Amino acid sequence: MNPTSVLRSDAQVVRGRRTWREVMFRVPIREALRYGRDVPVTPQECVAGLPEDCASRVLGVVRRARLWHREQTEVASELSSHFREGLATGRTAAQLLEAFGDERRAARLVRRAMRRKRSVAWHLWVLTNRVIVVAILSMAVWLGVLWGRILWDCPTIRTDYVAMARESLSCDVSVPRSYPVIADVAARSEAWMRNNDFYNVPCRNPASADWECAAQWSEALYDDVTRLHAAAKLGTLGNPFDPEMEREYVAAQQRYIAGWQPSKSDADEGLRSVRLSSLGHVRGAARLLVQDAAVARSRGEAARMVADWRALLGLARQCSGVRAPWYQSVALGVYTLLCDDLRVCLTVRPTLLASDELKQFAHELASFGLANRPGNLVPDRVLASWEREDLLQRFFTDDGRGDGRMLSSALSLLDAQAREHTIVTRLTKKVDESAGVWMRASSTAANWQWVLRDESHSGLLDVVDNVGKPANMLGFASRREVAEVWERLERAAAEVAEVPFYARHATALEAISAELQTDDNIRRLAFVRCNATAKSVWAWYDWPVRLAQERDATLAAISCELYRRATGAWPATLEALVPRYLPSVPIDIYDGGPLGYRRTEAGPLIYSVGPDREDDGGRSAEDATLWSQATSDVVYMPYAPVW
Amino acid sequence: MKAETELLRGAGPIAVLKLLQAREMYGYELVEALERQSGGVLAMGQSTLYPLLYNLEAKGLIEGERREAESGRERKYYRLTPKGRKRLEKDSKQWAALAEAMRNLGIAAGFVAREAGACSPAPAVVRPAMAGGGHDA
Repeated sequence: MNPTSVLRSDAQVVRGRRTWREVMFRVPIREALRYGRDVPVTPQECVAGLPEDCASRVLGVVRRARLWHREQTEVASELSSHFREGLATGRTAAQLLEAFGDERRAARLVRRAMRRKRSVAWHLWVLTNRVIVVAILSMAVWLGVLWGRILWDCPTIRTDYVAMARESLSCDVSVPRSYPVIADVAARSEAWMRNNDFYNVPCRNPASADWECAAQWSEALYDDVTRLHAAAKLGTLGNPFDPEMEREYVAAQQRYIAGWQPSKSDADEGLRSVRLSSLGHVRGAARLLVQDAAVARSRGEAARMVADWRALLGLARQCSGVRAPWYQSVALGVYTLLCDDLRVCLTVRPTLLASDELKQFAHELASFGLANRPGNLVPDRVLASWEREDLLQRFFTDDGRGDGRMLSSALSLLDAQAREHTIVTRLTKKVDESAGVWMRASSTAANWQWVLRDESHSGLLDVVDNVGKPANMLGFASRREVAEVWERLERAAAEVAEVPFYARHATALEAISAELQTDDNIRRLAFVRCNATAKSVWAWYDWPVRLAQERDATLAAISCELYRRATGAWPATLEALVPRYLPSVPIDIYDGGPLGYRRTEAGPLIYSVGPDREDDGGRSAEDATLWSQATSDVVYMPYAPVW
Repeated sequence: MKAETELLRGAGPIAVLKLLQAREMYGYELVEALERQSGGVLAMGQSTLYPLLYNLEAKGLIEGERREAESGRERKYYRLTPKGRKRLEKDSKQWAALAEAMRNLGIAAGFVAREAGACSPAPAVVRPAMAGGGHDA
């Protein structure tokens, strides 16, 4: 027995008690937490006085049992007592050791028994850890299997739709194309912006803080602007599916932007056909022209401004000549910029243009439209179906029966599409944030909430993409489901397009869109591509109508100005403009009635009743646009009251 | 004769509880008593006894108290708890039923007499007491 030990309740063996001062300043923290003021007895102290063999056996059992320190002491103390009692009865150490049994087995049993004695909290802790480990291992195995399947999969390209599109859109190579000039100018423009770290263009408001730098930008590139004037007169932009156009895109970027290298998706021909990189250059060219027009207006250079407008109109015409759906949308965007710029001019510099010039340009603007669609902006349904089929075969595996699951490479495609398809949004960005005034064209973007872009750049998708890409793959709807929804969307869009805008209530298309825009994140993500399609389909039947109204309002504004110059007063009603200035009173797409008009002291007020269909007499919320869901009226003229 | 380990696994705990029913005992004393009172049948490895005691203690069937004996040696005495008494009572009945069943099957003593027609009906369900056992499980 250890004569210095103190017997406490249960099996705890301690040598004595420390003072609190000792506990606070001399005892290691770990020991203080374990024993408080008690001075613990070590297993070695417990076996003191035992024969060496017995002591070794006790310590061996304690060591092998891998117990907590307090438990070790308890077991060592008990086993030491056992041997001491045996020795006291006259047995030899050898006899006792033989009767005691195997050390390993004893250690194993002691360990199990002592662990059972531990607290419920400890058992819960161990159980929790085990559950976590099992869950992690299961997840790892699951992800591993999925990764394997995903890495193994690759798209099956059964039909080369890119080649078909290239052939369908092929243009006469002998006809000069504008794209080489557009690419060259856009790349130079981008290089300028990078070098000057300035991207807030175009800027139409001379009072804006961005104006100076924006003006420098267009001035620096004025020679290029004149090149664009000439290029916009050419018959065609080119074929965006033509590899030559892609090579021109890469060459232009590398020529002017130091260190620019094609991205992975640039290098992939299949992806290039989806990305249509050339769209970015068209956007850059349009922005440069708008900025130059703003600079010309501020300096009173009417001819230069009109030349910029004609170039914009030519660019819109060239884009509409490319029947690919996304070029149609860009054509709409460019046309919107032009209409906006005209109304800006009529608002801030109404007398800048001579009447003849104004009439001439009004005719050119009107000639871009057919029926209720500006330009021949009817996307080629065949091309659209090719795009659908091409995306499906690139996004999904093919089981040969029209079904399959989404591929990991589809995420790259989604991202590439998201980046490129925001082109229209970026084209029509807000122009004067400091003044709180938005370009009407920015409204193009206001409701153009790209589901695709929102989703593909959301934190949710980033996490899912980076950590659990395989799980992400599982979350997407199958090829058959996506194709089915896609076709429903297209059918519904075709039906809705036949209905007047103001009569489009609770359409099948809206029902499908609502179905896709569910609050259920998983389902929304599953049909993310269909959401994008819903938006593009919406663009087919919705945008042209809204833009037709922008055009009609712009023509009405021009007519008012011409009327004022001719009579010395603003017209009392829009009917007064018919038939000399307008063929008929423009229709408000929201209620089917005439476009709203009021003569004010400041000039004509031209407005739409807006989505709420209530005539507020031209009262407009600051952010109300034709494209928003504002409950106020949408005012076209004056364009920017704060200017 | 020494019992097989599997048999001992079920019998060990109840044997220990039974020994502690009379009075509190310390580890080595229990080892000796088991061997002596069972005629060596229940003599278990001494290394087995202590885990068995820890298991019974963990289940609250016995409780231990360390104190100094008259001899001056430090011992940990074990005694039955009320829960342990109930368990012993319950297990004893089951073991009695088991023994009866074994006798009826001609495995235990008394087989010849019952073979002659004096046997009582076997219990419907017999389940050996494993509650205190399984310390090796």
